[in-house]
Amino acid sequence: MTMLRTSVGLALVGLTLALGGCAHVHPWERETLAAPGMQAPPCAPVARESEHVIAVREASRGGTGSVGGGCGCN
Amino acid sequence: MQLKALRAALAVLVSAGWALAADVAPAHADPPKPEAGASISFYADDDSVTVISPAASTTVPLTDTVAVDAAATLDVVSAASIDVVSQATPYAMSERRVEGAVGVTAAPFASVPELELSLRGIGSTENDYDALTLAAGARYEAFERNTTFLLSYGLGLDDVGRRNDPTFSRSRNTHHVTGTVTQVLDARTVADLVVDTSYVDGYQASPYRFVPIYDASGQRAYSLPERTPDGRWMGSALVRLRHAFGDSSEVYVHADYRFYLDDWGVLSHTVSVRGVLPLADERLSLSAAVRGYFQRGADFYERRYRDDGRGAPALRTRDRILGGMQTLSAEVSVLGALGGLPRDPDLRLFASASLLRFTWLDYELQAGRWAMILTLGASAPF
Repeated sequence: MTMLRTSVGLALVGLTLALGGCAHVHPWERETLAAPGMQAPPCAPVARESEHVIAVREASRGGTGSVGGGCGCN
Repeated sequence: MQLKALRAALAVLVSAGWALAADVAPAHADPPKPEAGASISFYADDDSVTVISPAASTTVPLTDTVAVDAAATLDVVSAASIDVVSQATPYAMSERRVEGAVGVTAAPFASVPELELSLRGIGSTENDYDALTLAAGARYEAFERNTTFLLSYGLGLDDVGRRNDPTFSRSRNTHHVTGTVTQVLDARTVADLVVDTSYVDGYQASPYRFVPIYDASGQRAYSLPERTPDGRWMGSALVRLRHAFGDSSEVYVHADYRFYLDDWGVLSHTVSVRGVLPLADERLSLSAAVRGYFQRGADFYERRYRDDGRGAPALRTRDRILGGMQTLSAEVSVLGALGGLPRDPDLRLFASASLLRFTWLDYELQAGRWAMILTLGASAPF
């Protein structure tokens, strides 16, 4: 687990440094990026319901960026 | 008891949020619009489980830098599942779960407008399970908003009970840290990295599940309550790429991969791909997604536990989701925008249908389950 956490931490730092040097996109070039279809998720209520259903039917947690409250899984 | 104390903490959190809101910059002449939404979801599977979940939410900007939000969800569950009727006391069940959430988001420092802070409290209650989550987060936009960092911490405080047994009470606490980096790669591509880790401490078994123990001849000898470790470290990393294809009429594609590992031995890979096709000048969008989930089970999971004269295994479970399993799912959604501008409409409508297939690779009672989720909803500024 320690090795995993260290690897993930190093990957995060490395990726952040690398991304800092990525292509620069100006605000007036972001019309496509602002489109509803580019948002993750495109429809938050639908994603929330799916995540809630899946959270009590699979053993893995996390990676969605959301914080839940109560599982109803007892 | 623990929950009552924390309900008070939640009240303090909400008060602090309002105080923060009142202390920040004066209201903007043209603040963002408040918005409200409602939805209803219906879950059903071929194992006789149905869940109806109406939900409502609202977000109200107090100033141009502070917004509060609230949400409520009701789950009405009825089940005669094999998972329920195979317990020590066979019965079909019907119960309700109520969840409420409040939050405040603010950009509190005028000199650092790229920094946004948030506080959130989420509580839920049902007849045998109470949960409270308190979360705090910070979001920072760097490199002229080409890179966004999000860091959050959540503390979950749950009380596990048992139906018709007021003497049964166990606690389960969760610490959850999430770090997210979102990077604009070019004018049509965005990448996300989400890394999170959790530690769960306390009772993590089910008070209703009993595990049959077999003797050396393969005969069922006796049953014992389920027992799992009290601590569990979990970690996951998700990488997502979002890209717009096409020139005049775009198609948006999202591709995700998540890796998960915990110290119970569960390891999983999750892949998903989504396509979004806007129609009618973005007033209508069709979205379709597929997802695959592939899981290795916990180290202590066994199809059958044996007592060969030296006693039953100390750790034992009959929770099928702790064994090897797979999930395959497909979702189709339609999103509509009525009135106003396509990206700032007077009313948003959405409808979604999902089909899921859960397959348990090493579960004695069942090989799998088909399930579906239907969701309908709307949101509008007011």
